[in-house]
Order: sequence, then structure tokens, then C-alpha cells
Amino acid sequence: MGKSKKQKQKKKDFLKRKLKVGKKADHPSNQTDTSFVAKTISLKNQHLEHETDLSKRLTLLRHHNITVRKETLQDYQKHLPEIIKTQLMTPLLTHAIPLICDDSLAVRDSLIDLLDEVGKLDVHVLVLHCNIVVLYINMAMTHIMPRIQMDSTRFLGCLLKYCSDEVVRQAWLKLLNGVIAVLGWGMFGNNQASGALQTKKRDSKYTKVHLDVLTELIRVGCSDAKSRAAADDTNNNEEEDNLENYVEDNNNISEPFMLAEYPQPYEYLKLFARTLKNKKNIQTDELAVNSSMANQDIDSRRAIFKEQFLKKVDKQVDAIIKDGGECGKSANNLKQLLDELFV
Amino acid sequence: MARKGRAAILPNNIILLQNLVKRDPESYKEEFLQQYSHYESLRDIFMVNGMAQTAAAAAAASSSTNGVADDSANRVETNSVGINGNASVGELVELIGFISQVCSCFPVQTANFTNELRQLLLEHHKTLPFELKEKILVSLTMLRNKGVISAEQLIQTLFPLLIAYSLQGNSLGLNSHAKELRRLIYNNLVTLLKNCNLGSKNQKLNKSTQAICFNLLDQPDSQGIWAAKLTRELWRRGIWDDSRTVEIMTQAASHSDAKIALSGIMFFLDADREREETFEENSDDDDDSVNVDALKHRLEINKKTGKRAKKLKNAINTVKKRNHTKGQANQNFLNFSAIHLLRDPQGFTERLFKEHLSGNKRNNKFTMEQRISIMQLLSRLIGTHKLTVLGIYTYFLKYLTPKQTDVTKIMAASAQACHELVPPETLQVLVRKIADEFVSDGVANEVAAAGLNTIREICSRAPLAIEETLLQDLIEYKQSKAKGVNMAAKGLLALYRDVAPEMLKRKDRGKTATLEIIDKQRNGTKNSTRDARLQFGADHGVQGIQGLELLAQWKRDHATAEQNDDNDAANWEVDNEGNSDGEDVDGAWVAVESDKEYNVASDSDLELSDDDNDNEETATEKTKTTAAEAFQELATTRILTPADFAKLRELQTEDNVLQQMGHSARDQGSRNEEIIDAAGLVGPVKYKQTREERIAKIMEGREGREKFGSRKGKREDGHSTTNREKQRKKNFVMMIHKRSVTGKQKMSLRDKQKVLRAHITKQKKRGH
Repeated sequence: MGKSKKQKQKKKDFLKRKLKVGKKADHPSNQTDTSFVAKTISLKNQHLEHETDLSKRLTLLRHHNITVRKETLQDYQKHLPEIIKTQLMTPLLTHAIPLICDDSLAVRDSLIDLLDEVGKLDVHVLVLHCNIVVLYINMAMTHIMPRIQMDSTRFLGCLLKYCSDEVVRQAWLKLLNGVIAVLGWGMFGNNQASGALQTKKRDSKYTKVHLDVLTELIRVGCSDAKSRAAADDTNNNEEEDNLENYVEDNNNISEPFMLAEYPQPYEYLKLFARTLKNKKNIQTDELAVNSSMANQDIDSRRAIFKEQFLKKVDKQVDAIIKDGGECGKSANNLKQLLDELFV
Repeated sequence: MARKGRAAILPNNIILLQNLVKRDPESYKEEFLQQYSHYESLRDIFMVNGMAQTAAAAAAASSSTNGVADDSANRVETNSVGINGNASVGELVELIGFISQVCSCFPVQTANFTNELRQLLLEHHKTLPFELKEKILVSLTMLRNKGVISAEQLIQTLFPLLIAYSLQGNSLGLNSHAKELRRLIYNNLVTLLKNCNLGSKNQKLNKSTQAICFNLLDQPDSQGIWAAKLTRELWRRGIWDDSRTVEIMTQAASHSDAKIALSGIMFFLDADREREETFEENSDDDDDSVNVDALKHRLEINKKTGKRAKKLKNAINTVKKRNHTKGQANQNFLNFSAIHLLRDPQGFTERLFKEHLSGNKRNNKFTMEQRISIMQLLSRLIGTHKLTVLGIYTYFLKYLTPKQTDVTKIMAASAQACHELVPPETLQVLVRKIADEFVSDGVANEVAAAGLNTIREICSRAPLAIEETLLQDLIEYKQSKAKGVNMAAKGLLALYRDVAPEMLKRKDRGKTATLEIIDKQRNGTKNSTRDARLQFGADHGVQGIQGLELLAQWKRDHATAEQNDDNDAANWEVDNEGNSDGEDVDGAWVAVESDKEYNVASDSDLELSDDDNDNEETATEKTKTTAAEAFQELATTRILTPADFAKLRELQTEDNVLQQMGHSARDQGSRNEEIIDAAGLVGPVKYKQTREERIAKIMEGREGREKFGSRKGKREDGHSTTNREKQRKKNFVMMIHKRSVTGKQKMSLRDKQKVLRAHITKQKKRGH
């Protein structure tokens, strides 16, 4: 008299299954089997590395790790030929330029390399971002960390190499002030800054860089573009080729009525710039009066330099020449240039 | 050499540099200038970035329709700019802090600095990040404290910002932190004004700020709320307490915007109470914080150390300082209520009524509760200044029904609005309406009581507001079973017995009133001080000196007793105080009779003594004097000395206390200014208490009382074991052979029973 099948099944439901070590537990009764069998699998699209990948790495420029920042810069430098004509350049530069004030020397070095590379590949990119670079260089020149201050002239040197005209037109006075402050020649007060005083003796190497940059700055700022172009012709520098186009017809009378050859010719009017207005009567120093106007043409630049700086520079240069060495050589160059320009 | 030493400390962070510059500004001028130009370049970068940011945002907004690729490019750009901004914010914040800390050392070089900060804040606040805005605000406040910028300049910066951030558009912007900024700016404003008015009032600043407030309230938008809020806060703290301040609030109260209007109205209703509370709080704080006597005492008891002595000295100093400032504060603080400081109460009330309550139907911008507040304010104004705004009485009619919410408040307001200069016809309508609606047999006791009480309050202010027949009808309610109604009717009766007994039925007049009437009728009308009937517009102006009759009474009572003593003793004394004006001209010492009443007036001695005699006679005749008589008696015959006035004041307060206890009739003059308590109109209502209420009441009675109940066998103080306890706990084996134990077995059954019974009762008594 065996029990019916149904009864057996019913009983089975209420039996407790024993779990055994080393054996898999039974599947629950309500499990659904999702396995299937297919002959082929087709994927719609394949994920490949794109150029946009580079734009995603922009934030790495603000990474807290020095090495990461440095390597990102180097990486971009490597890829520059591909991206130089793309939209990516603006974000790249706006991200990279603040690194002028970076704490680490390695990062600043690779940034200089990057800027140099950009200048070599396409001058116009650098010219476009010139004002921001100048602003940051200016900031670095007054930075509280002496190392950053010292390096600021190297950036300036790099910039002068490619877009000198733009630089002097935009910030002649500011940069002159800055370089001289970095040199510790004390334009502001009566006594020298302690930081400059300390580093001056220690780092003749830096002083040489400063002097060279100052020489270059004065040469660019105070000498005629035409004569320079003539000089450059002999050097046959490729980046000066584009300058030549408009230098040719410099004497043309119609020139004032033509379109200006450089971007934003009326910038000094500050029609679209956001600035804070100061009352005229409480202007702090005379240097700042019409400073933007003063930068525009060679004559005014020369006049300002002659008026404000020439004496001081002369005096300091003489002292350095006396000391001799590497710095003496650079100082001598500067002196020659000054003699040549301001007879 | 000194230079070299200085150079050894090379500042390489801002904080260190700040410290150095503060110590020796001249030597570190170069560094400072360097940092200043650093700030300038950072600021320029910031400006450029900010512009780029707004441009990018605009571009993103416009290009959102263009396409996906374009959009993503824009996003990259905005992203980058934002990041750059963040990088320099921290540095800029630090530098701004630094420069504002030390810029007082270099006033020439930093002449533009504050101006720049203000411009940054005012013109570019939309693009600046929150931390920077906060920092600039803090720096500006600090510069104000250092005296670099004036308080006016700061206020002119703060106010526009406050307005800008309460606008809808700005506060909804991303990361604008509008709420925090508003709070920051507002707190800054209040503390600034507080600090500026600390010693003496800075009237110039107050006036300019008040002018800004006026301008804000002139505009039709809702920005005026800040003016109202600020004014109220400053009033609460007692910083502003003049009529200009009140004028600001009148403007707020009659503003077309409901929120502002309401804030103005609540100011007039509550501000004075708030102010008093604040001052009370402050004085409370003073009392318990430092107790010098206790400190001194402790110093005497405890071991004497230098530290403790120093502590005491500090405490005494603070107390002295506080007393000093307190005195000053009290001196500065004139305790006028806002309603009394109004310049044109009639005009203000009329405008308020016309604009907010009466007239056009579309005036439903206020909720009922708010409308009641307006009614309260209007009635308080009318009552205090005895204004004539006849429209309001008919306005009340609409709301005076028992079903109306908060009707007691409206009733209180309507009573408050009555005074004796309102034409009785107007008020009679009001009273009739209240009587019809509230006082009848068909309504609940509380309703009837409220109605009667309101009528009493109205009639106490304007006795002619009720017709004779209605009054007599209402007084019939004195026989009501309900206590509230009963009491209210009796109150009305008592009022009219005092004010106009002629209007009552003969049986209700009471003894004194009846006697008076009979007396009057006998003498004819010419002698009586009061006409037979009350008349509207009769002059009840203030005559004489308030409370003078009390003084006269007192003098008379004391004079007789004193005179006797003095005459016997015959001791002479010179009353310097009284004589100083009259007698010094003669330049000779004059012996004066030593009765206390003897104050020399300009009259001759002879007349004066006659008067004195008269006074004494009247004093013996009548114990009670009227004000007019007293005035005749005292003010015409003598000059009151300060001592007299002091006594007068004392007597008045005494009399007031008596009045409070319900001993004497109230006087008419100050009635209009006291505020009617809306809750009190209903009268005493007794409900059955819930259990919680009963328990609470019981507990209240037990507070501070020792616990009842037996204290037998409960010894709270610590003690060693008693002999009995020792005996009880002694080891059984040691006791087993004692006679006291062995003897128990040999006891007879009867004895055993006795012992057991005794034991049981003892245990029971002990409570086991």
C-alpha cells in the first residue's frame, strides 16, 4: 500500500534538506534559468581611444601630485603637433598657464618647454593668449616665494622669443617694473626687499637670466621693428617671417587708415574691459597715469624708459660689470644696447 | 648691520609677513609693495576670468539649441575658467585680508584699495565667489573699525548689496549664497550702527541711514522690508529712539506692500514691549554675573593669594564700568513709546484707515488676523491721542458678531477706540449693536459677559455712549445666575453710580449717589460742581496738579498732631529749603514757626497765617477733600518744594496701589492710554478641570514643602549600629545557651501567646 505520487510530493515539500560540507546548496525552487545559446555575437560599435581623451586629462594639471602635473604637461607637449589646430588649445592654455606660479621647479620647467613648443608650432596661438600669460608672469614676478619670482623671467624670455611686439605693446611698463623688482633694483621704496637682497648674492645664474631678459625686453621695446627685421633677416628665423609682411610697407602714408595689423588695436580705450575705475586725484604713482597709452608706440616707450628707468639701470649695470663673471658679460651686452639706443 | 639682521627673517608666507609689517612698517615697505602689486595682478586676472565666465555662460545659454558638439566645447571652456577662478580665489582672499590688515600703515600707496574693494563688491558681486564676497565684507568692516573708511561709506556699500541680494533674480542664481550674505550684511549693519552710537549718539550717521531707509520705503517694491526690519531692531536695542525713527515706521505702515505695512503696524503694537524686555534682560544679566560682595567675602575666608586678589580687582573694575555705561544708557534712553512720538497722529491714522481698511473692495490683501492687528493699532492711536476717525466705528459694526473669529480682540479694539470727544450718536450705534448681538437671554454666558464688559469699557471712556433705557435694561442682568454676566452687569452699575447716577433707576443709584442728588436738588443747581446731566464736549481738561488733594489731606492729618508737639516743645528750626527764594533778599536770619506746613510764599506773613487757620478748620470739619479745593488751598497760598513733590509722588503711588486692590474709584485721565486686555473681557470662566490640571495644581501647592507622613524609624543622618541591631544580628550559636533564649522554651503557653501577640502588633505598627 504505497502512498500516491501526490502525497509523496506533498510530503517532500516539508522535509528538511540536509546541507553537506563541500556540496553546493540546492537552488531555490523559484529560480529562473537565464542561460541561452547563440551561434554568433555581434557588437554594434567598438570603444576606441579618441582625441577627446586628451581633454579629459586637463584636470590632471591641477593634480596635487607634482609628478602627475609634470607628466601631463610633457604628455601634452608630445601630442602638440596633433592638437595645435584644434579647439583644445584654449582650454589647455587656460589650464596650463596658471602653473607659472606652481611650487615645483620641475613643473615650471616642463611648462616652459610646452610654451616653447607651442610658439614653435604656431605663433598665433601664443599671441592670442598673450595677455593672460603676461598677467600670470606679472603675478609670478611679485610672488612671495623667491623661487617662483626667479623663474618668472624665464617665462618672459620664452614669450619674448615669439610674440615680443604683442608683449611690449600690452604691458611694457608693468613688465619693466616687474623685471627690475625681480632684479632687486628697488623701484618702489627706498630700501631693498629682503628676499631680493638674499638671493642676489647666491644666484648669479639667475641674475644672468634676468639681465638677458631685460636686455631683450629693452631691445624689443625701444628699437624700431624695421631695423630689427633687417637684423633678423640675416638670422633667417622662421617665426619672424610673418612679421615681415607688414613691416614692408611701414612707411606707407595710408597706414593709419588701414586695418590694424595686430589684434585689438583699441584695447587701451578699455571699451570692453572690466576694470575698476579709480578717481584721478588719488592716483598713487605717476607711472600708472595713462600706462596703457604709453605702451602703444615706440616713441612713448622710449620716452618712458629714458625718463624713469635709464638712470637706475645704468647705475646698477655699471656695478655688475665691475663684478665681472657671467653676469658681467650679460650686463655688458645690456650696456652696449643702452648706449646704442640712447646715445 | 641692522639691515642684515632684518633680512635674516625672510618672510615666505603672508601671515608671517603681516606680522613683520605690523611691527615695522618702514623696513618692510618693499615687501608690502610687492604684495600689493601681487594683489593688483591677481585682481586683474580675476577680472579677466570673471568676464570670460559670464561670456561663456551667455554663450552656453545661447548655444544650447545649436547642437551637441558645440555645447560640449563650451562646457569644457566654462569648466576650465571655473577651475582657474577657484585656484586664485584662496590666494586673493588671503591677500585682501593681508592688505586690509596693514593698509593703515601705508595710506598713500593704498589710497585706492578700499575703493576697489567696494567696486568689486557692488558691481561684480554676481560673478564673485562667495568666499571672496564674505572676505571683502569682513575686510571692509575691519577697515571701518580702523578708521580707514567712514561709517557712511560702509553703509552706502552695504545697503545696495542688501537690496541686490533680496531681489528674486539674484537669490535664485547658482551658488549665490544669498541667504547667508543677507544675514551677514544685516548683522554687519546692526553692529555698525550699534558701535557708532555707543558713547553718544552719532546723529550724522543716524540721519543719513534714516534717509536711506526713507528712500527705500518710497519705492513701491518690497525692498523697504529691510528698512523696516532694521529700524525695528535698532528701536528694540534703544539705539534709535527719536521721532524720525517713528516717522520711518509710519511710512512703512502706510506702504502699499502688505508685508512692509504689516511690519510697520506690528512695530507700533509691539516694539515698546520688546524694548522693555530687552532692557530687563540686560539688567538681569548684570545682576547675576558678578557679585562683588560675595567675592569679597570669599576672599576674606579663603586663603589669600595674588591670583584671587587680582580676580576681585577685575570683578570690581567690570562692575564699575558696567555701572558707568548703564548710567549712560539710562541717561540716553528716553522712554517714550513710539505712539507718543508720532508727528501727525491724526493724519497717520486717517491714512492708515483709508488705505488698509476702508473703501475699495479689493483691499483683501490682509488676512483676518492682520486686519485685527490694524484695527488694534488704529484704536490705540485714536484712544491715546483722542483722534476723530468716525469711519472706524461703522467699520467695527461689520465684525461685531459672536460667530466672528477672535471677536474679543475686535471688541477690545472697538472699546479702545472710544473716548469722550467722539460724538455720542456714533458710539450709540456701536453700543446698540453690541447689546443686540451679544447681550440677550439666548446666548451663552461668556458671550453675554463679554458684551457687557465691552459696553462697560466703552462707557467708562465715553459715558454718553449709551442711552438711558438701554443702560437700565442691561443693568437688569445683575440678577443673572451666571457669575460672569452678573459681575459684568454689576461693574456697569458701579461705573454709572460713579459717573452719572441720574441715568440709573432710582433703586439702583445707591446711598451716596442718592444723597448727593437730593442734596443738589435742595441747593439748586448753581452750587453744584457737576451739572445734573452729562454733556457732550464739556470741558474735562486737566486742572491744577494731579494728586494735590492727597497731599492736602496728608498735610492736614499730620499738621494737627505735629503742631501740638511743636508748640509744647517750642523748638525753633529754620526751613532752608522753603526760605531760600523769599528770604535771602533780606539777608537776615528769620525765625520761622516750626510747623511743617509753614512754607513761605510771596504773600505776607500775616495773610499766610490766616490761611493756615482756615485750613485747619476745614480739616477738622471734613476728612475728604476734592481736587479743586485742594488746589485752591495749597497752590494759591504757597510754593511747593521738591520735598513736597516727592511726598506727592509717594502718596500717588500709594493711592494707585489701593486702586489696584479695588478700593477706590479710578480716575478718568489716564484711562485712554491703558490697553484693554481682550482675554479679560469674557470674565472669569470656570470649566471642570482635567486630571492633569488638578494634579498640576496639587503639585504647585506642594512646592517647597516638606513631605508629609510618619518619619518613624527613618534616620537620615549616618550613624553606627545601635545596640538593638547588634543584639539582633548576633550569632545564634553564641546566644543559644543564654538564659534569655533557653528560658523561652520553659515559658508557659499563655506567656508564649502574650509575647507572640505583642510581637505581631509591634511589627504591624512598624509597617512590616
